Amino acid sequence: MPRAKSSDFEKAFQELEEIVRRLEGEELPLDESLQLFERGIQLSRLCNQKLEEVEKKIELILADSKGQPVVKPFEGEEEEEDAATEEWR
Amino acid sequence: MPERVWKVGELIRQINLDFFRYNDISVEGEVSNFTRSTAGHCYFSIKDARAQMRVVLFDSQARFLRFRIENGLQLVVRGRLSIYEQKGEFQLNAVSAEPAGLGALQLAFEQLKKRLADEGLFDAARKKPIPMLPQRIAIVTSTTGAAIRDILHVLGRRFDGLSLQIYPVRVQGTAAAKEIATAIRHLSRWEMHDVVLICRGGGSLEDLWPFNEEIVARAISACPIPTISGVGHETDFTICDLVADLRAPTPSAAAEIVIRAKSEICRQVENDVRRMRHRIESRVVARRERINRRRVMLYRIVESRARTMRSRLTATRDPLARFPMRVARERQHLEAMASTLNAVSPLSVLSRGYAIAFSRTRNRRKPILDSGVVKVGEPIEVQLKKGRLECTVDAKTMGVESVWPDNYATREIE
Repeated sequence: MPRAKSSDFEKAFQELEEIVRRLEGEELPLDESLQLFERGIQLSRLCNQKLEEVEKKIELILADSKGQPVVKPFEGEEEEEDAATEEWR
Repeated sequence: MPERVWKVGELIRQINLDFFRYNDISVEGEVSNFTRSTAGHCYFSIKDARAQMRVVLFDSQARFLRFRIENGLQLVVRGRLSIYEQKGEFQLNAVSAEPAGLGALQLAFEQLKKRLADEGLFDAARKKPIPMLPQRIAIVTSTTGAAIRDILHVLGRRFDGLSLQIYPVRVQGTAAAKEIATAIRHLSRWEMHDVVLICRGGGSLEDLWPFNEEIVARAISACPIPTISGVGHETDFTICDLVADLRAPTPSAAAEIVIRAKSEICRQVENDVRRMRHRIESRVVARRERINRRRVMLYRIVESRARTMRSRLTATRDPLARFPMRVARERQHLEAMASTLNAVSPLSVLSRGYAIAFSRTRNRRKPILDSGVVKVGEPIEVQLKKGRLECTVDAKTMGVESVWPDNYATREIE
Protein backbone atom coordinates (compact mmCIF):
# COMPACT_ATOMS: atom_id res chain seq x y z
CA MET A 1 0.00 0.00 0.00
CA PRO A 2 1.38 3.41 -0.83
CA ARG A 3 2.37 5.75 1.92
CA ALA A 4 0.21 8.52 0.41
CA LYS A 5 -2.79 6.99 2.23
CA SER A 6 -1.92 8.63 5.47
CA SER A 7 -1.55 11.99 3.80
CA ASP A 8 -5.15 11.58 2.56
CA PHE A 9 -5.98 11.29 6.17
CA GLU A 10 -3.95 14.37 7.03
CA LYS A 11 -5.74 16.35 4.33
CA ALA A 12 -9.13 15.28 5.60
CA PHE A 13 -8.12 15.98 9.16
CA GLN A 14 -6.75 19.41 8.32
CA GLU A 15 -9.88 20.31 6.37
CA LEU A 16 -11.94 19.24 9.35
CA GLU A 17 -9.86 21.44 11.65
CA GLU A 18 -10.24 24.32 9.23
CA ILE A 19 -14.00 23.88 9.15
CA VAL A 20 -14.17 23.90 12.94
CA ARG A 21 -12.02 27.02 12.99
CA ARG A 22 -14.25 28.76 10.46
CA LEU A 23 -17.45 27.71 12.17
CA GLU A 24 -16.18 29.02 15.47
CA GLY A 25 -14.34 32.06 14.25
CA GLU A 26 -16.39 33.56 11.45
CA GLU A 27 -19.89 34.92 11.28
CA LEU A 28 -21.09 32.85 8.35
CA PRO A 29 -24.57 32.81 6.92
CA LEU A 30 -26.53 29.94 8.39
CA ASP A 31 -26.82 28.20 5.03
CA GLU A 32 -23.09 28.19 4.59
CA SER A 33 -22.57 27.07 8.18
CA LEU A 34 -24.86 24.12 7.63
CA GLN A 35 -23.04 23.19 4.46
CA LEU A 36 -19.71 23.35 6.28
CA PHE A 37 -21.14 21.31 9.11
CA GLU A 38 -22.30 18.64 6.70
CA ARG A 39 -18.85 18.54 5.10
CA GLY A 40 -17.26 18.38 8.53
CA ILE A 41 -19.33 15.40 9.53
CA GLN A 42 -18.42 13.72 6.26
CA LEU A 43 -14.72 14.36 6.95
CA SER A 44 -14.95 13.08 10.51
CA ARG A 45 -16.45 9.84 9.16
CA LEU A 46 -13.62 9.60 6.65
CA CYS A 47 -11.08 10.15 9.42
CA ASN A 48 -12.63 7.51 11.62
CA GLN A 49 -12.71 5.11 8.72
CA LYS A 50 -9.02 5.74 8.04
CA LEU A 51 -8.22 5.29 11.69
CA GLU A 52 -9.60 1.79 11.61
CA GLU A 53 -8.76 0.73 8.08
CA VAL A 54 -5.30 -0.72 8.70
CA GLU A 55 -5.49 -4.30 9.77
CA LYS A 56 -3.98 -4.91 13.17
CA LYS A 57 -1.01 -7.19 12.65
CA ILE A 58 2.58 -7.76 13.53
CA GLU A 59 5.05 -9.29 11.10
CA LEU A 60 8.70 -9.60 10.22
CA ILE A 61 10.01 -7.85 7.15
CA LEU A 62 13.35 -8.66 5.56
CA ALA A 63 15.12 -8.29 2.27
CA ASP A 64 15.65 -11.27 0.04
CA SER A 65 18.85 -11.75 -1.94
CA LYS A 66 17.61 -9.31 -4.57
CA GLY A 67 16.80 -6.70 -1.98
CA GLN A 68 13.05 -7.23 -2.31
CA PRO A 69 10.87 -7.21 0.78
CA VAL A 70 9.82 -10.53 2.28
CA VAL A 71 7.11 -10.52 4.91
CA LYS A 72 6.89 -13.37 7.42
CA PRO A 73 4.73 -13.98 10.41
CA PHE A 74 6.25 -12.90 13.69
CA GLU A 75 6.24 -15.70 16.23
CA GLY A 76 7.39 -13.61 19.12
CA GLU A 77 10.57 -14.36 20.92
CA GLU A 78 12.05 -17.74 20.32
CA GLU A 79 13.15 -18.33 23.88
CA GLU A 80 10.08 -17.50 25.86
CA GLU A 81 6.57 -16.26 25.40
CA ASP A 82 6.03 -13.61 28.01
CA ALA A 83 2.85 -11.86 28.99
CA ALA A 84 3.41 -8.92 26.69
CA THR A 85 3.70 -10.99 23.53
CA GLU A 86 0.79 -13.13 24.59
CA GLU A 87 -1.34 -10.05 25.02
CA TRP A 88 -1.57 -8.90 21.43
CA ARG A 89 -2.10 -12.33 19.93
CA MET B 1 89.44 9.37 19.34
CA PRO B 2 86.87 6.66 18.91
CA GLU B 3 88.02 3.11 18.42
CA ARG B 4 85.66 2.24 15.69
CA VAL B 5 84.19 3.80 12.59
CA TRP B 6 80.63 2.53 11.99
CA LYS B 7 78.87 1.93 8.76
CA VAL B 8 75.61 3.87 8.85
CA GLY B 9 73.40 0.83 8.43
CA GLU B 10 75.30 -1.06 11.10
CA LEU B 11 75.04 1.78 13.56
CA ILE B 12 71.33 2.23 13.08
CA ARG B 13 70.72 -1.48 13.39
CA GLN B 14 72.75 -1.44 16.62
CA ILE B 15 70.79 1.52 17.96
CA ASN B 16 67.56 -0.21 17.08
CA LEU B 17 68.78 -3.18 19.08
CA ASP B 18 69.64 -0.86 21.97
CA PHE B 19 66.17 0.59 21.65
CA PHE B 20 64.79 -2.75 22.71
CA ARG B 21 64.18 -1.36 26.17
CA TYR B 22 61.73 1.05 24.47
CA ASN B 23 59.97 -1.88 22.86
CA ASP B 24 56.65 -1.22 24.52
CA ILE B 25 56.21 2.32 25.70
CA SER B 26 53.42 4.85 25.86
CA VAL B 27 54.02 8.53 25.06
CA GLU B 28 51.63 11.36 25.51
CA GLY B 29 51.72 14.45 23.34
CA GLU B 30 49.76 16.73 21.07
CA VAL B 31 49.28 15.66 17.47
CA SER B 32 50.60 17.81 14.66
CA ASN B 33 51.47 17.42 10.96
CA PHE B 34 48.97 14.59 10.64
CA THR B 35 48.73 12.88 7.25
CA ARG B 36 47.22 9.63 6.12
CA SER B 37 48.50 7.87 3.05
CA THR B 38 46.29 6.34 0.40
CA ALA B 39 47.17 2.95 1.91
CA GLY B 40 45.67 4.16 5.18
CA HIS B 41 48.88 4.55 7.16
CA CYS B 42 48.92 7.48 9.56
CA TYR B 43 51.95 9.73 9.93
CA PHE B 44 52.12 12.49 12.49
CA SER B 45 54.18 14.14 15.18
CA ILE B 46 53.50 14.30 18.86
CA LYS B 47 54.98 17.07 20.88
CA ASP B 48 55.04 18.83 24.16
CA ALA B 49 56.48 22.25 25.05
CA ARG B 50 60.06 21.05 24.80
CA ALA B 51 60.30 18.41 22.08
CA GLN B 52 58.60 16.46 19.37
CA MET B 53 58.89 13.07 17.69
CA ARG B 54 57.53 11.29 14.62
CA VAL B 55 54.86 8.60 14.91
CA VAL B 56 53.71 6.10 12.33
CA LEU B 57 50.52 4.07 12.75
CA PHE B 58 49.98 1.50 10.05
CA ASP B 59 46.56 0.89 8.56
CA SER B 60 46.47 -2.62 10.02
CA GLN B 61 46.11 -0.92 13.41
CA ALA B 62 44.65 2.43 12.40
CA ARG B 63 41.53 0.81 10.93
CA PHE B 64 40.43 -0.28 14.40
CA LEU B 65 40.44 3.22 15.82
CA ARG B 66 36.89 4.41 16.52
CA PHE B 67 37.95 8.06 16.57
CA ARG B 68 39.94 10.05 14.09
CA ILE B 69 43.39 11.32 14.76
CA GLU B 70 43.48 15.04 14.24
CA ASN B 71 46.00 17.79 14.71
CA GLY B 72 45.81 19.30 18.18
CA LEU B 73 44.49 16.12 19.72
CA GLN B 74 46.15 15.10 22.98
CA LEU B 75 47.07 11.48 22.40
CA VAL B 76 48.62 8.61 24.31
CA VAL B 77 50.43 6.50 21.74
CA ARG B 78 51.69 3.06 22.51
CA GLY B 79 54.38 1.33 20.48
CA ARG B 80 58.01 0.67 19.85
CA LEU B 81 60.81 3.18 19.31
CA SER B 82 62.96 2.74 16.24
CA ILE B 83 64.98 4.51 13.65
CA TYR B 84 63.69 4.27 10.13
CA GLU B 85 66.80 3.04 8.38
CA GLN B 86 66.25 4.52 4.92
CA LYS B 87 65.82 8.01 6.34
CA GLY B 88 67.69 7.64 9.56
CA GLU B 89 64.73 9.13 11.31
CA PHE B 90 63.82 8.42 14.86
CA GLN B 91 60.17 7.40 15.19
CA LEU B 92 57.57 5.63 17.24
CA ASN B 93 55.94 2.65 15.53
CA ALA B 94 52.54 2.85 17.14
CA VAL B 95 50.29 -0.17 17.68
CA SER B 96 47.49 1.80 19.32
CA ALA B 97 46.47 5.29 20.22
CA GLU B 98 44.09 6.54 22.87
CA PRO B 99 42.93 10.02 23.42
CA ALA B 100 44.32 11.41 26.68
CA GLY B 101 41.64 11.98 29.34
CA LEU B 102 38.57 11.14 27.31
CA GLY B 103 37.73 7.55 26.36
CA ALA B 104 38.24 6.61 22.73
CA LEU B 105 34.53 5.97 22.19
CA GLN B 106 33.60 9.21 23.85
CA LEU B 107 36.04 11.04 21.60
CA ALA B 108 34.82 9.19 18.53
CA PHE B 109 31.29 10.15 19.46
CA GLU B 110 32.23 13.80 19.92
CA GLN B 111 34.16 13.84 16.66
CA LEU B 112 31.41 12.26 14.57
CA LYS B 113 28.84 14.43 16.26
CA LYS B 114 30.81 17.56 15.43
CA ARG B 115 31.46 16.47 11.88
CA LEU B 116 27.82 15.59 11.17
CA ALA B 117 26.67 18.73 12.94
CA ASP B 118 28.98 20.78 10.71
CA GLU B 119 27.42 19.06 7.72
CA GLY B 120 24.02 20.09 9.05
CA LEU B 121 22.70 16.56 9.53
CA PHE B 122 21.13 17.45 12.86
CA ASP B 123 19.57 20.69 11.69
CA ALA B 124 16.01 21.18 12.80
CA ALA B 125 15.18 22.23 9.24
CA ARG B 126 16.12 18.75 8.01
CA LYS B 127 13.77 17.03 10.40
CA LYS B 128 10.77 15.50 8.67
CA PRO B 129 7.55 15.82 10.60
CA ILE B 130 6.28 12.58 12.05
CA PRO B 131 3.04 11.82 10.21
CA MET B 132 -0.05 12.65 12.13
CA LEU B 133 -1.34 9.13 11.92
CA PRO B 134 1.49 6.62 11.49
CA GLN B 135 -0.22 3.32 10.83
CA ARG B 136 2.32 1.25 8.95
CA ILE B 137 5.22 1.09 11.29
CA ALA B 138 8.61 -0.46 10.60
CA ILE B 139 10.80 -1.27 13.56
CA VAL B 140 14.49 -1.87 13.05
CA THR B 141 15.58 -3.84 16.06
CA SER B 142 16.46 -7.26 17.37
CA THR B 143 13.58 -9.70 17.70
CA THR B 144 15.10 -11.03 20.89
CA GLY B 145 16.04 -7.80 22.59
CA ALA B 146 14.40 -5.87 25.39
CA ALA B 147 13.34 -3.14 22.96
CA ILE B 148 10.78 -5.18 21.01
CA ARG B 149 9.44 -6.67 24.23
CA ASP B 150 8.96 -3.19 25.70
CA ILE B 151 7.36 -1.91 22.51
CA LEU B 152 4.89 -4.78 22.33
CA HIS B 153 4.15 -4.33 26.00
CA VAL B 154 3.33 -0.65 25.51
CA LEU B 155 1.19 -1.30 22.48
CA GLY B 156 -0.56 -4.16 24.26
CA ARG B 157 -4.10 -4.36 23.05
CA ARG B 158 -4.26 -0.73 22.07
CA PHE B 159 -2.97 -1.00 18.58
CA ASP B 160 -6.10 -1.41 16.51
CA GLY B 161 -5.45 0.07 13.12
CA LEU B 162 -1.68 -0.32 13.37
CA SER B 163 0.52 -2.61 11.36
CA LEU B 164 3.93 -3.40 12.81
CA GLN B 165 6.68 -4.85 10.70
CA ILE B 166 9.90 -5.71 12.45
CA TYR B 167 13.07 -5.65 10.43
CA PRO B 168 15.27 -7.98 12.49
CA VAL B 169 18.88 -6.86 12.92
CA ARG B 170 21.66 -7.43 15.36
CA VAL B 171 21.94 -4.42 17.64
CA GLN B 172 25.31 -5.20 19.17
CA GLY B 173 28.73 -6.22 17.95
CA THR B 174 30.83 -5.40 14.92
CA ALA B 175 28.27 -6.44 12.29
CA ALA B 176 25.41 -4.55 13.90
CA ALA B 177 26.02 -1.09 12.40
CA LYS B 178 26.15 -2.47 8.89
CA GLU B 179 22.96 -4.51 9.39
CA ILE B 180 21.10 -1.54 10.83
CA ALA B 181 22.23 0.72 8.02
CA THR B 182 21.26 -1.87 5.39
CA ALA B 183 17.84 -2.34 6.96
CA ILE B 184 17.20 1.41 6.91
CA ARG B 185 18.33 1.66 3.31
CA HIS B 186 15.98 -1.17 2.25
CA LEU B 187 13.06 0.39 4.09
CA SER B 188 13.92 3.73 2.48
CA ARG B 189 13.78 2.16 -0.94
CA TRP B 190 10.58 0.19 -0.37
CA GLU B 191 8.69 3.13 1.10
CA MET B 192 6.02 0.86 2.50
CA HIS B 193 5.84 2.46 5.90
CA ASP B 194 4.64 5.67 7.48
CA VAL B 195 7.39 5.75 10.04
CA VAL B 196 10.59 3.86 10.87
CA LEU B 197 11.47 3.18 14.49
CA ILE B 198 15.10 2.39 15.25
CA CYS B 199 15.26 0.80 18.66
CA ARG B 200 17.51 -0.87 21.13
CA GLY B 201 17.31 -1.46 24.87
CA GLY B 202 19.78 -0.02 27.35
CA GLY B 203 23.46 -0.93 27.53
CA SER B 204 26.95 0.43 27.90
CA LEU B 205 28.43 2.95 25.50
CA GLU B 206 30.22 0.02 23.90
CA ASP B 207 26.91 -1.88 23.57
CA LEU B 208 25.15 1.09 22.01
CA TRP B 209 28.08 1.79 19.74
CA PRO B 210 26.48 0.61 16.46
CA PHE B 211 24.00 3.47 16.85
CA ASN B 212 26.93 5.89 16.93
CA GLU B 213 28.39 4.69 13.67
CA GLU B 214 28.58 6.94 10.70
CA ILE B 215 26.98 4.46 8.26
CA VAL B 216 23.90 4.29 10.47
CA ALA B 217 23.80 8.06 10.73
CA ARG B 218 24.09 8.40 6.96
CA ALA B 219 21.39 5.80 6.30
CA ILE B 220 19.00 7.54 8.67
CA SER B 221 19.67 10.98 7.25
CA ALA B 222 19.03 9.65 3.72
CA CYS B 223 15.79 7.92 4.72
CA PRO B 224 12.75 9.57 3.09
CA ILE B 225 10.45 8.02 5.69
CA PRO B 226 10.27 9.87 8.99
CA THR B 227 12.40 8.17 11.61
CA ILE B 228 12.00 7.84 15.36
CA SER B 229 14.98 6.72 17.37
CA GLY B 230 14.54 4.97 20.71
CA VAL B 231 17.93 3.74 21.79
CA GLY B 232 19.03 2.87 25.32
CA HIS B 233 17.79 4.65 28.40
CA GLU B 234 16.76 8.24 28.83
CA THR B 235 20.27 9.37 29.65
CA ASP B 236 21.84 7.72 26.62
CA PHE B 237 22.35 9.96 23.66
CA THR B 238 23.47 8.42 20.39
CA ILE B 239 24.26 9.83 16.99
CA CYS B 240 21.20 7.90 15.81
CA ASP B 241 19.08 9.96 18.23
CA LEU B 242 20.51 13.16 16.82
CA VAL B 243 20.02 12.29 13.15
CA ALA B 244 16.57 10.76 13.48
CA ASP B 245 13.61 13.04 12.90
CA LEU B 246 12.46 12.42 16.45
CA ARG B 247 14.30 11.13 19.48
CA ALA B 248 12.33 9.03 21.91
CA PRO B 249 14.10 8.56 25.24
CA THR B 250 13.44 4.79 25.20
CA PRO B 251 11.91 2.17 22.89
CA SER B 252 8.76 2.25 25.05
CA ALA B 253 8.55 5.99 24.56
CA ALA B 254 8.85 5.52 20.80
CA ALA B 255 5.88 3.15 20.93
CA GLU B 256 4.00 5.64 23.10
CA ILE B 257 4.52 8.35 20.50
CA VAL B 258 2.98 6.17 17.80
CA ILE B 259 0.07 5.04 19.97
CA ARG B 260 -0.59 8.45 21.40
CA ALA B 261 -0.69 9.95 17.96
CA LYS B 262 -3.55 7.66 17.09
CA SER B 263 -5.58 8.00 20.25
CA GLU B 264 -5.02 11.76 20.30
CA ILE B 265 -6.29 12.02 16.77
CA CYS B 266 -9.34 9.92 17.64
CA ARG B 267 -10.03 12.28 20.50
CA GLN B 268 -9.37 15.32 18.36
CA VAL B 269 -11.79 14.15 15.67
CA GLU B 270 -14.43 13.50 18.33
CA ASN B 271 -13.74 16.89 19.80
CA ASP B 272 -14.04 18.56 16.40
CA VAL B 273 -17.38 16.93 15.78
CA ARG B 274 -18.60 18.02 19.20
CA ARG B 275 -17.44 21.59 18.63
CA MET B 276 -19.11 21.73 15.21
CA ARG B 277 -22.36 20.31 16.61
CA HIS B 278 -22.32 22.73 19.48
CA ARG B 279 -21.65 25.66 17.18
CA ILE B 280 -24.33 24.71 14.69
CA GLU B 281 -26.86 23.91 17.39
CA SER B 282 -26.27 27.15 19.18
CA ARG B 283 -26.55 29.00 15.88
CA VAL B 284 -29.78 27.23 14.99
CA VAL B 285 -31.14 27.89 18.47
CA ALA B 286 -30.10 31.52 18.26
CA ARG B 287 -31.69 31.78 14.85
CA ARG B 288 -34.87 30.14 16.08
CA GLU B 289 -34.96 32.52 19.01
CA ARG B 290 -34.50 35.44 16.69
CA ILE B 291 -37.32 34.17 14.52
CA ASN B 292 -39.50 33.74 17.57
CA ARG B 293 -38.66 37.20 18.80
CA ARG B 294 -39.48 38.59 15.39
CA ARG B 295 -42.70 36.66 15.35
CA VAL B 296 -43.66 38.02 18.75
CA MET B 297 -42.74 41.50 17.59
CA LEU B 298 -44.78 41.03 14.47
CA TYR B 299 -47.76 39.88 16.49
CA ARG B 300 -47.41 42.86 18.71
CA ILE B 301 -47.24 45.24 15.81
CA VAL B 302 -50.20 43.66 14.07
CA GLU B 303 -52.14 43.63 17.30
CA SER B 304 -51.51 47.24 18.11
CA ARG B 305 -52.32 48.21 14.53
CA ALA B 306 -55.54 46.27 14.75
CA ARG B 307 -56.35 47.96 18.03
CA THR B 308 -55.74 51.38 16.57
CA MET B 309 -57.82 50.56 13.53
CA ARG B 310 -60.61 49.16 15.61
CA SER B 311 -60.73 52.12 17.92
CA ARG B 312 -60.64 54.48 14.98
CA LEU B 313 -63.44 52.55 13.35
CA THR B 314 -65.44 52.65 16.55
CA ALA B 315 -64.88 56.35 16.71
CA THR B 316 -66.31 56.91 13.25
CA ARG B 317 -69.10 54.42 13.73
CA ASP B 318 -70.27 55.90 17.03
CA PRO B 319 -72.34 58.80 15.70
CA LEU B 320 -73.88 56.45 13.21
CA ALA B 321 -74.65 54.04 15.98
CA ARG B 322 -76.23 56.80 18.00
CA PHE B 323 -78.28 58.00 15.01
CA PRO B 324 -81.28 55.61 15.31
CA MET B 325 -81.61 56.64 18.92
CA ARG B 326 -81.82 60.25 17.92
CA VAL B 327 -84.38 59.45 15.27
CA ALA B 328 -86.47 57.64 17.83
CA ARG B 329 -86.16 60.53 20.24
CA GLU B 330 -87.11 63.02 17.53
CA ARG B 331 -90.01 60.88 16.53
CA GLN B 332 -91.17 60.70 20.12
CA HIS B 333 -90.85 64.42 20.42
CA LEU B 334 -92.69 64.86 17.16
CA GLU B 335 -95.42 62.55 18.32
CA ALA B 336 -95.69 64.40 21.57
CA MET B 337 -95.96 67.66 19.71
CA ALA B 338 -98.46 66.17 17.33
CA SER B 339 -100.61 64.94 20.17
CA THR B 340 -100.46 68.35 21.81
CA LEU B 341 -101.34 69.88 18.51
CA ASN B 342 -104.09 67.41 18.17
CA ALA B 343 -105.35 68.19 21.61
CA VAL B 344 -105.61 71.85 20.85
CA SER B 345 -107.02 71.34 17.41
CA PRO B 346 -110.64 72.40 17.00
CA LEU B 347 -111.11 69.28 15.00
CA SER B 348 -110.57 67.19 18.07
CA VAL B 349 -113.20 69.17 19.89
CA LEU B 350 -115.59 68.46 17.04
CA SER B 351 -114.85 64.80 17.24
CA ARG B 352 -116.07 64.86 20.77
CA GLY B 353 -119.49 66.15 19.65
CA TYR B 354 -118.99 69.86 19.88
CA ALA B 355 -119.87 72.15 16.99
CA ILE B 356 -118.49 75.52 16.04
CA ALA B 357 -120.81 78.27 14.97
CA PHE B 358 -119.50 80.79 12.49
CA SER B 359 -120.93 84.13 11.52
CA ARG B 360 -120.51 85.36 8.06
CA THR B 361 -119.84 88.99 7.93
CA ARG B 362 -118.25 90.58 5.00
CA ASN B 363 -117.41 87.21 3.68
CA ARG B 364 -115.29 86.40 6.68
CA ARG B 365 -116.06 83.40 8.81
CA LYS B 366 -115.70 84.10 12.41
CA PRO B 367 -116.58 81.77 15.27
CA ILE B 368 -119.44 83.06 17.32
CA LEU B 369 -118.46 83.26 20.93
CA ASP B 370 -121.21 85.71 22.12
CA SER B 371 -124.85 85.63 21.11
CA GLY B 372 -124.75 89.38 21.07
CA VAL B 373 -122.83 89.52 17.86
CA VAL B 374 -125.56 87.97 15.77
CA LYS B 375 -128.96 89.20 14.98
CA VAL B 376 -132.08 87.14 14.82
CA GLY B 377 -132.70 86.04 11.28
CA GLU B 378 -129.04 86.16 10.43
CA PRO B 379 -127.65 83.14 8.62
CA ILE B 380 -124.87 81.33 10.42
CA GLU B 381 -122.83 78.26 9.71
CA VAL B 382 -122.30 75.36 12.03
CA GLN B 383 -119.34 73.25 11.59
CA LEU B 384 -119.75 69.59 12.69
CA LYS B 385 -117.22 66.86 12.86
CA LYS B 386 -118.53 65.73 9.55
CA GLY B 387 -120.08 68.33 7.33
CA ARG B 388 -121.60 71.81 7.84
CA LEU B 389 -124.99 73.16 8.53
CA GLU B 390 -126.37 76.40 7.10
CA CYS B 391 -128.70 77.81 9.69
CA THR B 392 -130.66 80.93 10.56
CA VAL B 393 -130.79 82.39 14.05
CA ASP B 394 -134.39 82.04 15.26
CA ALA B 395 -134.01 83.50 18.70
CA LYS B 396 -131.27 84.31 21.13
CA THR B 397 -130.63 84.76 24.74
CA MET B 398 -128.30 87.30 26.00
CA GLY B 399 -126.25 85.62 28.37
CA VAL B 400 -123.61 85.35 30.83
CA GLU B 401 -120.38 83.54 30.23
CA SER B 402 -121.14 79.87 29.98
CA VAL B 403 -119.95 77.63 32.73
CA TRP B 404 -119.88 74.01 32.00
CA PRO B 405 -123.65 73.48 32.30
CA ASP B 406 -125.24 70.13 32.44
CA ASN B 407 -127.86 71.43 30.23
CA TYR B 408 -125.51 73.06 27.87
CA ALA B 409 -126.29 70.71 25.09
CA THR B 410 -130.01 70.66 25.81
CA ARG B 411 -130.06 74.36 25.98
CA GLU B 412 -128.19 74.59 22.83
CA ILE B 413 -130.74 72.29 21.29
CA GLU B 414 -133.47 74.37 22.73
